Amino acid sequence: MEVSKIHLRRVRDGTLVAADLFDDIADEHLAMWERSWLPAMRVALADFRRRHVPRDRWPQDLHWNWREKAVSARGLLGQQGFAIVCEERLQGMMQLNLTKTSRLPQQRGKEIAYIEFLAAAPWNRAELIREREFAGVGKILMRVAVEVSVAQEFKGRIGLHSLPQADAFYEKCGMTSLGADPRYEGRLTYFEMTAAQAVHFCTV
Amino acid sequence: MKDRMPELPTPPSRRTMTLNLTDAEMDALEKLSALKDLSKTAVIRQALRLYQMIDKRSRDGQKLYFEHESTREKAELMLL
Amino acid sequence: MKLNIPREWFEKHIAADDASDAIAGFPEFLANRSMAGEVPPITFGAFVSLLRRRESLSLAQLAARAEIDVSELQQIEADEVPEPSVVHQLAAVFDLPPKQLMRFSGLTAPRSSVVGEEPVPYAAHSANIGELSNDERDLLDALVRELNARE
Repeated sequence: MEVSKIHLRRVRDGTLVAADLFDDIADEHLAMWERSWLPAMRVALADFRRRHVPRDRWPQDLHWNWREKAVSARGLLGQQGFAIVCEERLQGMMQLNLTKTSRLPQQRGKEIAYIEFLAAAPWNRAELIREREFAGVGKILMRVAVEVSVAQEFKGRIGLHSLPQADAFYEKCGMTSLGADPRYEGRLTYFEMTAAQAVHFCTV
Repeated sequence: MKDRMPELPTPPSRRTMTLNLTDAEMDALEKLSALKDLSKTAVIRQALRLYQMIDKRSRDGQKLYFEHESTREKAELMLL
Repeated sequence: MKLNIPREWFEKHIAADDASDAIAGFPEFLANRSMAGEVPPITFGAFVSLLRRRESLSLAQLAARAEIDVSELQQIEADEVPEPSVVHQLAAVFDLPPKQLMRFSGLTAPRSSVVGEEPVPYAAHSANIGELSNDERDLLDALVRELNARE
């Protein structure tokens, strides 16, 4: 497992804070997930119920078992996990799949780094907490996906499925929407980033 | 500010191997390399990823199918 | 792999007021059909209790309908892990998919304080029949929908 230096934006004072990016979701990260994410998710869940928020407005990853995902991906070259730790807390996780290919007509059949699962810690999410601790976790993990894509010679091409409420975010990141994916009852939007879009996304 | 390709990340440690391929195999490798816009090494690495994943899923009791996009016809890929 | 993302990129692209923080991946309604590892919002025992109260049944009445012992039912509602056959019978009484109900029941870890405890006899006929509050009704409806959807 290797560690890389990244930065998160602390919302409270707008400063950049150094953080560690791990290229694996290790047992220590899963322990942090169980200790700190799950209880916070349960609290959020109880709050949603109390406020009678309709279920389709709840965070859609409440049921995700990261331990199951991470453990089943271990040892597989085609799946890569990432974890961000900052100030000794788990700030985000992502799982990539490297065995998928593009659906965009101009690059159809070419390999992409597909984001299977991506989530920021509950305290970093605007829909779960009034003042987030760190901003940018999602976008940073997307950049990581692009970096992996480049490293594998996929030229920065990535893909992911989005819930409609997050569509605007991915569009703002410069991704191309391929519309509602019929394979998922049309309820998820499929996005891809081309090599050119990736270069732009990574430009300083 | 000029757009440029992101810097390549540092690769993990590497071990080297020599591949002995037939003409037909090398041709196929070169064709895939061109089609996929990947180096021959990258093609082999991708093949390894897929092979490993298929193997694991087969062991888990799953079957691999091809499904025709329009006709929805399924053809099983037998891997034992 | 080690990444080298320049600090300037974070400076430029990561704002404190970034409106949304993405998640990507499969949402609840398309979740992997297996409920393994899921955290149910209430225990299985609490769920059975809510179902029973929705039908305005006492423990004795439900036990009779499900053709199980009252003591068994008490233990279930007190979060002892139930026998699959019992779960099956409860599924029939409440018209719920048995397989999903069984998965749900298997996810509930028994409360350690309850193991080996004698069930309290008076509770069988007593008024644990209180009408459901709105919250309880919502939760129950949601769980029932979920179980049926996963079938």
